[in-house]
Amino acid sequence: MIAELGHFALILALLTAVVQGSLPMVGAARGYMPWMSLAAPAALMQLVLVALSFAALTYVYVVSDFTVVNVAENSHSAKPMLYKVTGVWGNHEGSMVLWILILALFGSMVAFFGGNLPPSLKARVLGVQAWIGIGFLLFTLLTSNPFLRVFPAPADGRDLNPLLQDPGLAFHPPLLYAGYVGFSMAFSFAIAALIEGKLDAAWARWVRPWTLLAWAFLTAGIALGSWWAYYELGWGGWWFWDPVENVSFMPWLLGTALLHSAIVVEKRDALKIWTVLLAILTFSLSLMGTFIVRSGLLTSVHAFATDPERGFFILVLLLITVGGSLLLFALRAPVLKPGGLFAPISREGGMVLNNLFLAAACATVFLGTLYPLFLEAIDGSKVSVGPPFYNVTFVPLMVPLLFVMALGPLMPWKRADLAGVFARLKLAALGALAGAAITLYLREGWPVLPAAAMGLVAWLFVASLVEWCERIKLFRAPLGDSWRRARNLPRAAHGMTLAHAGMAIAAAGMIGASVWNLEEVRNLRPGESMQVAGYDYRFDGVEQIQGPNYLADRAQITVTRDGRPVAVLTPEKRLYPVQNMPTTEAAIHTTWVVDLYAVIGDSDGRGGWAVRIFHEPLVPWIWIGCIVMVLGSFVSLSDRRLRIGAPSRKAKAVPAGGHPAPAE
Amino acid sequence: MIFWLLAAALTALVVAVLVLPLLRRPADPDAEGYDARSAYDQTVYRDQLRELQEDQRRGLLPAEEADAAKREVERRLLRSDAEAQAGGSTASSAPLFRRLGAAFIVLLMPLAGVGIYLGYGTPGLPGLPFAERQGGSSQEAEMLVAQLEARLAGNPEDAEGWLVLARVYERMARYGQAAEAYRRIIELGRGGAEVHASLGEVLVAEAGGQVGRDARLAFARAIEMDPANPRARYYAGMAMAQDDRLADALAVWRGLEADSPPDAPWRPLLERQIANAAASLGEATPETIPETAPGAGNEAPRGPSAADIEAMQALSPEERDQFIRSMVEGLAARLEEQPDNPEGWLQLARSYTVLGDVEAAGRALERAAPLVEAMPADTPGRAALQQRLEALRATLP
Repeated sequence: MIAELGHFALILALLTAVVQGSLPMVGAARGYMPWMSLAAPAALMQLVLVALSFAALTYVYVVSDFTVVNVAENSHSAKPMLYKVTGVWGNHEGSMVLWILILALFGSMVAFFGGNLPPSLKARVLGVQAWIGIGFLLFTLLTSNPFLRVFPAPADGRDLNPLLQDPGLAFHPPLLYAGYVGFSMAFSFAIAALIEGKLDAAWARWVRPWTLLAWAFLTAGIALGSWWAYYELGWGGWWFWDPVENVSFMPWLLGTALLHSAIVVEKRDALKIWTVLLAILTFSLSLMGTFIVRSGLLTSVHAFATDPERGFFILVLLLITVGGSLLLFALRAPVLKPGGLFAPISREGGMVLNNLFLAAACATVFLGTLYPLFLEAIDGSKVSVGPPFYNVTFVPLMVPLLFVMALGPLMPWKRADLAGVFARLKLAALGALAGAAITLYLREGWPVLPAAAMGLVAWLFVASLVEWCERIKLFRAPLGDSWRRARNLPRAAHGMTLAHAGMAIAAAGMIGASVWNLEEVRNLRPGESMQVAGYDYRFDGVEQIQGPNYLADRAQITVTRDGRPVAVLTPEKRLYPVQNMPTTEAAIHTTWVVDLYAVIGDSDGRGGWAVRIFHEPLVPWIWIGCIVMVLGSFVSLSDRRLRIGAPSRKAKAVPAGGHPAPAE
Repeated sequence: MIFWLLAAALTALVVAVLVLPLLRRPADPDAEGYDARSAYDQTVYRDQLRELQEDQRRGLLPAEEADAAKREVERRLLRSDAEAQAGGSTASSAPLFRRLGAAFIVLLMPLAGVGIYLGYGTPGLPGLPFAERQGGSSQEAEMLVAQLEARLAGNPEDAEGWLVLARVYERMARYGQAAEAYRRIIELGRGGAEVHASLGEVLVAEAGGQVGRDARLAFARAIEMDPANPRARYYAGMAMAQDDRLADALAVWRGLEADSPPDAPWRPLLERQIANAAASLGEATPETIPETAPGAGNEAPRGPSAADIEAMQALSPEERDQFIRSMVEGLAARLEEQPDNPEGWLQLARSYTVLGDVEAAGRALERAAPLVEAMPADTPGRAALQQRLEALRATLP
């Protein structure tokens, strides 16, 4: 009965979305206030209903009710409780419900915190949000219904793909979805502005927190996914330019561009049409990201569902959303009043440059991801586009981006003095030289390119700090004074510094990981050891252990350096009998500068085991950098300036034109 | 019942939450003025001005930069004021629209909700948590049956209910009742290929594995409605196998195998049947093997096929006896037509011994003995046949 209630609640959610997407929209167009005021309660109700439905689905997973087809196909009674719960979204149908839940959550947040929005804009934003909801709810109910039942129930379930039985799965999809869905807010605001024909600095102010929130979630989601691939797949890599990774990376690139261009709209009332286009494209890419892995176009661990009926539905949904919004854009964009002009050398000029590079980078990833699909569709030939392609297209775009990123924050709005900016970056130049020199010193040979890359990253890092130090007059004023200034500095400024510095740290990690990564495979007998990059790895042996729903060979490898113990690594090779699938569990010891990474392979049957050791310098910095970036966006989000109050009676009472601007 | 109550309560809640804002009469129609848009814009711009002043006061912004920015924000404020003056109030809260909106919601929610739900949901099927299934499985099924029977007594037109009941009966091995339930669905005009195939399946199960006349009719109907129906095709193959048309059966099964997705649940069973049938045919085909006695180059006697054996295991002792007897008679008839087959006669003799028909066994041995003796001494299988002949003679009185 619980499953049936969940099913019913999901259907009611669809109908609520229909109400939310129709009456408030008409109301906003015709000026019927009561119809507009329907949007907020409908959005809140939507959340209640979808949450009920999601809770029901979770319940049937927790109690292993195999009369629910979805549970029978993706769960097993012997599965650990954590994976029974995470298994709810570890499959196609359940993940769609999660998607809708997050969408409803964002919608209700607008309803709840949106008191500062003009009623018509709020009604339209929630209306567009409901349209997206209708599409997804229809897709779920008609082609991917998780509440379908079967009787008699199978004796037990078919279990969850063992690769997905990992704590990482608890967080990766929800965060990634929160990012994807978060950009639906920017999309809804953009569509609402196009319908309304009004887009100004105030609009940008209202959109800003949603974009920031979405960006933070997406960053965290991608980082977590990358981390998961790093330790679960046992290949020692953290990014493979796999199409599935790329489709989550594209909205990130455009979302980052959107974040910056929205600031220009807010401060200078310019770049408006481009910003709207970015908002539409970012969400379109998010949709593509959700769907392309579902449609069976790509085969990977994420491709839960490959079903032509679903694929067709997805295609239609994508065409309507992307095509419809772009058509609306083409029709309505000319209505928007163009904003002020600006000089190329200025803060906003820097942002345009940033947008250009990010958009171009996104385009290269887009090509690299979709070209093989097109080619296969046309003449059936298979090509794979891998790191070599991205090394010659994507990386060269990132280099100038990172360089300019250091300059941007130092440039004032409207007009900047480039010479002056460079003068203030003497310290950063010094940092760059130091970074390059240290690299040359530490590494043998004459690694010119890596040294230059590390120099660039150091340049960005130091420049970000320089800007911050200058604003609080660190070392120029007494420390107490600097402290006071730091406390007074808007949180958004702290956030930017953190985000830019975090990017520098992560970039350093990426460079280090791709340039100095070492891999060694040996067949070792117990007691034998191997040496990788100055560390001794002694293979102590393998023992058989039994987990809750798997069997494993667990190896023990003692790591020492110059005779001093460093760590004991216990990589595992697991077999999940229900799906008859082996997985590797890498063992990782991090020194925060380098990861020591061990994987156990097959036995040669004569007492020897294949032991694979990866030496991964600077990889931990990637995650640290991402954490710092996410932290930065939350600090920025906490800026009280983003919490604009609703117009009060008093404000309205002030006669028009007589705004209080005390000339202090 | 509880489900419908809860569903109704949930629907009522949704309708109430959505309709209330429509019914609430605004105390002051001016209070929610639609043209207040400019007021919202101006709040933002005033906020921006305040920020600039703050930043300037704290020395975060050089004076000339702050002034330029301030001028820009002030321009926006002015423009917003102008817009507010130009755009007249268009807000409306006419009662007609309130009532229209309310009626739309009140009608849509329950009607469409229940309509869609009935199309996709399975309202009568209770949940079955894994923990409750351990041990209490039969009891739980009994309860379910009682519930369903009661419900269907009140509403015999409920094809969905009959389908669930049929499946429960089937699982409880109450095949006769399951067949009845499937027939009810067909009578109600709701029987698709799958229902016909399921009916055939329970009839086969009831007949202990024999694909009888009614079952054959049911499978034929199912295939007529959906030529791809896997259940019906599987049993059609079974029927052919039971008719000794093993090659035809194999063709049908192989066709089904080719059409089945790799993870189809019936695959293992089907593959086993195919392997067995192929093995049986493989025994029968090597009629040209030169090792058989010259002059006795006839078809080697065919053992029971795998399908036959499987069917036999499902039979009652008497039925089994009958079945074996019919097979033995078939063998005897074949040997009468082609009597030059010492091994066949020996097998027949053995079969009669098993059946306890000593007389007939003796007669078969009589036919076999001269043939064995007539074989040249150096024929490879002669010694073995001789031995079997002696052994069988020894068992007879």
